[in-house]
Amino acid sequence: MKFKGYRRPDGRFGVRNHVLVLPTVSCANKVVHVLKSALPEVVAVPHPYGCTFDVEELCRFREVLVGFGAHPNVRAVVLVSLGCETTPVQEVYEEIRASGKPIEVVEIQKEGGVREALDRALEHARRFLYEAKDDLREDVPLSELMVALECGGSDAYSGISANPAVGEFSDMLVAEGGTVILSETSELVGAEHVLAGRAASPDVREALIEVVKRAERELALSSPGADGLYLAPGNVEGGLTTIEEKSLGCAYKAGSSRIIEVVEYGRRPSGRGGVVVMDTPGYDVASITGMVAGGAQVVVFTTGRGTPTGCPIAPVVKVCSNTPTFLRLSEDIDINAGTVVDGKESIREVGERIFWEVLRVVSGRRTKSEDWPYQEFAVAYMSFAEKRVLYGANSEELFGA
Amino acid sequence: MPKVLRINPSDNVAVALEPVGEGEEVEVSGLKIRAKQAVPPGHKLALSYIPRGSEVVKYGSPIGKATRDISTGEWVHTHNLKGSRGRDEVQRLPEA
Repeated sequence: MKFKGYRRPDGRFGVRNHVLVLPTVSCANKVVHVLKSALPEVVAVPHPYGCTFDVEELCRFREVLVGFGAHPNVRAVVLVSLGCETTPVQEVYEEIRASGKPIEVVEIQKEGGVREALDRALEHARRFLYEAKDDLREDVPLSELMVALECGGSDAYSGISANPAVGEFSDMLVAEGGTVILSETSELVGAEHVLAGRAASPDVREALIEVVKRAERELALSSPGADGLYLAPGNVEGGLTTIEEKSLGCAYKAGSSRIIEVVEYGRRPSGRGGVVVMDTPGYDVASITGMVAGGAQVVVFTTGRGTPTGCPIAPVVKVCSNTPTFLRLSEDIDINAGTVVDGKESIREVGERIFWEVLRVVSGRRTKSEDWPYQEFAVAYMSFAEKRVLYGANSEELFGA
Repeated sequence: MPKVLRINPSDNVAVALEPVGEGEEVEVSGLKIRAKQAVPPGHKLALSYIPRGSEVVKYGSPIGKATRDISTGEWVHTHNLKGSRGRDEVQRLPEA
């Protein structure tokens, strides 16, 4: 089976043809904001990052910048730099350029201020948009598709309707040679025994258990007062009581296919044709950003309470677990899986509906989240607790705790 | 779908798909259960007596332990169920 996508010089395939304007530090946001209002066709990603002496944070941010810039949904890139930030702008530029796409850097300090930098950035962006005008989509096999799976604002119906239906979708895609990424490690705590049984090798199984163990320790360290209740208030109101319960419902999204790889946040998976687990936080926006930086071209996002979250460079297909929320947030949600709860459709039928909708979306159809000018972007920085888990005993000296 | 759903045959709780009133009798996989309290939609209902300290099972897997004796038909939530994972005293995973 095929979809209609854009061939990129690095051999990957895009489902969108974006000209991306990316500040390398938040100090350059002004140029990016004004450029977006002058030229709404570009994708602009203002953000609060880019100047830090924390090595972990710098590495992650740099990886996400490169992941986004080199991403197959992006045709060309304008980086907007201040000039003195800690982000290694030249390296980021070189790495994105290595993917073979057009890229320019505009430096505010060198150009002589915001006005000059804006003029220069506009010039580049207009040229890139012009060059993109005649690009055509071509037939691409589904094995080239990598889909990020996410859930947010879960309720007790998520594990009954939306997540199992997405699981059906995942199995259908994997059967075609495609790849899905399961994320949010803290929401695998209590479900890892189910997933470990499907690991493609002992190494993968071990890696999976290890990242879940790490997430569990981090939960315990980061909120000692929570006493095991690691759920958002909306989750609890919706009927979820424990993290195990939430996790078991979440894990359905990956269907029943083999787990072929476990990757760190924002990294590009090497395998395809199965389920990849990416170690991301439970914070939806940072989790999606990580999976898209890793190369996922589209996101399938289940919700019970409803959420408008999108991604700047990848379409997000929203699937709702219940009909009342779907009707209330109908402008923000694409697919209603509440029909399963209503007894009107089977899980399989909704799974098929998701499959065909994703095929339409990756071939060009806009999702509800894409109708808005700005999209969410967040990089998962390591928390104090995460560093303590990673550095173990040394953390006492390092952090004086 | 039924009004109250037992997801896995080994589950000792079921999920209310619609609001269940106090004293209402519901049928769950052949069992007739009388609700001890009102159960909001999406919330859980005990299908059997669950003694304090024993496991509450949903999706065929443990989701935590009863913090009080839970009788058949009781609403099961944060007041009588607590997760076992990610807690200070439980930082080790079972060797799966």
